[in-house]
Amino acid sequence: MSATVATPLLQTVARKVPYFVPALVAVGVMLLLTASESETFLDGGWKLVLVYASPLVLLAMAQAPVVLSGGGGLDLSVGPTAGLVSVVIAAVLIPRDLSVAWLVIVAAILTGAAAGAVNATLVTLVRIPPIIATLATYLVFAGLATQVLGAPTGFLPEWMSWFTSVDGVLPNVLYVILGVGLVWLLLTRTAYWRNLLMVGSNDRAAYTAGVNVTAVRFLAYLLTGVMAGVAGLVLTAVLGGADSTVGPTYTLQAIAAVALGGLSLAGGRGGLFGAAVGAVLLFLIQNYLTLTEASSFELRMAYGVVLIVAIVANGAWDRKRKAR
Amino acid sequence: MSTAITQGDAPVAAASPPPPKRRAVRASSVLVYLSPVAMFVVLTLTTPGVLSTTGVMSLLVLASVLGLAAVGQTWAVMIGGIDLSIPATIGMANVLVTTLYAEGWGFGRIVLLVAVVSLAIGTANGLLSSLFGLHPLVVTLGMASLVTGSVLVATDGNTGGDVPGFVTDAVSPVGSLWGIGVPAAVVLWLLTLAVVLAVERRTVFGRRLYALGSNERAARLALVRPVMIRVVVYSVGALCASAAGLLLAGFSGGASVSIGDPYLFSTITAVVVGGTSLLGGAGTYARTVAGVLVTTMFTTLLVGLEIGPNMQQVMLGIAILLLITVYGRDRHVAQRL
Repeated sequence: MSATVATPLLQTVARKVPYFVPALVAVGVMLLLTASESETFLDGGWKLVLVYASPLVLLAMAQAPVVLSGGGGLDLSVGPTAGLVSVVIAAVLIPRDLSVAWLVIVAAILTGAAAGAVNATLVTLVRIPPIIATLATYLVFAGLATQVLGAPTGFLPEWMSWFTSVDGVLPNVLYVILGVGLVWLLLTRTAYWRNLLMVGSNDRAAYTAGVNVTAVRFLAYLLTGVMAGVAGLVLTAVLGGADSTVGPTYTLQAIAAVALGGLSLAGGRGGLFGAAVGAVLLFLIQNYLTLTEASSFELRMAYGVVLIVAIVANGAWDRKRKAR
Repeated sequence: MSTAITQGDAPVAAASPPPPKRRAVRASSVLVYLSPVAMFVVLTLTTPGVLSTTGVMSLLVLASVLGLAAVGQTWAVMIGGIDLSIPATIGMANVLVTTLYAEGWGFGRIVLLVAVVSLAIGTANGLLSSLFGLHPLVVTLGMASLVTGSVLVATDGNTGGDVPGFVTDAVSPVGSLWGIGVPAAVVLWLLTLAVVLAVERRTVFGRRLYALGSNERAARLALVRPVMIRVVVYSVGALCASAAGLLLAGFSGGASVSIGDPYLFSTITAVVVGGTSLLGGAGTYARTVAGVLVTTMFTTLLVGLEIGPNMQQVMLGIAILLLITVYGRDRHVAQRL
């Protein structure tokens, strides 16, 4: 007991709050800053911000399962996967008049799942280190996407504007994000969630305890692919078309968002919620810098500083959590 | 007494991992160093123009730029990190050299300034990735954004300029240095290669590099200072990346902060194709050189076969997968218990 009393207050607090709280607080601060800078933000402007942030949010969420699975788990190919999905929609389905809603959605998810399955096979069965395997698939997916669709196209079926509509109480895209979150929530009620964290923090211990490490990691990459597929669908709607060069630019941002959201890049700690919060934070920072009418040069500079500061703060907080 | 010591030592000996399979290791390194030779043979068979002094030299000039850029990536990977700020550093050097030279700065002063900025970038990378155990992936990503932004702000986005004639000559395949018929860029690369390998193999710093990469805790107990090593590693990497940026200025005359962008993945590819493990603690720059030569020739081969840039990318990805499947596979968790 005396040890607890002797622990500094901050440390005690740090140990009790969940991993994503620092990012959540930062999001709160950024929301206040944004609201003070933009008059329309509270008056519905936030919906539009959320719509534009949604591809990054979904891709950060997609990145989470593989990062959690540990062993250097990382998927560099999430961005190109999303790009590939939008190319499949715009250059394969639509020109063939296959633009019925259910078909496009199923195709997006299947394309994502296929990409995820390729990564999963390479990482868990062929046992190529994750960064290398997904770097290679990054090159393959991005190359294929540009090969199939050289120039951006902007013709989309009517129903896809549902994703970007902000007429309702909540922007429709939020339902997509919440839907993905709900599926994940159901998954965390199963043994899979526990096994994933266990494999992520110590795969050898997990294996010794009888967990099928290969299967757990395989499923993690598959889930990542599926979510990247959903992100690709939303990306297409937000862009109002397909541009094969846009997807890949999201990869590094998604990884930064995951780290900002308090997930450990070494695996075993965090969740989808943190990843989403990290992505919102990252987007709000960019958005705020744009609002202050900084030049794009200053924006890039400030973005780097903010990213480093945020990561350092996160690391310091983490150190407090772990200190005994 | 002596029996007591023996008894005390026995469990330690039993617990230590079995010696690595010598033959397997040797086979994979032979493969790595043979692959550039094999690639060259394939290349000469399919693209006859390569087999000439100019052809070989232009390959080597391309390789020397990538080779210099990949020094930092190799060492960063060897200590268990990664450096995503290399493209930004290349762009920084590229823009500073051309812009300041056009403004009439002396070349010596420019090089000094670029070197100081590079050291600052490397030091910041090293310090930040040591703080609180931050992942270098995110640290160097933020640093890249900061560097590129700063260069744009400082130059107001006017990144055009001029380069000294000898920089253009340095990257010309028909250029020569000291009358020996080898472009200066290639000479610079060979000198760097010699120094880097000497440091890796013959110095205390080199041994500390491997120690830190294989086990940070053990290294620290052996009085290796991780912060110091990281600062040096990222600084050397930034310096070499700047040299690559300088050479790139010779190719086009014009400049761009984003000229280094392709080198983000190509340096990682070169390291990986060379077979240096991303887990750290193993590998050498010599392997990366093999990787640099293979990827450079592979790209030339695809260009020779008139394959477009998109399919080149796809082929490169598939080639990485095939190569790593042959010699870079991880062990199964059951074999790591």
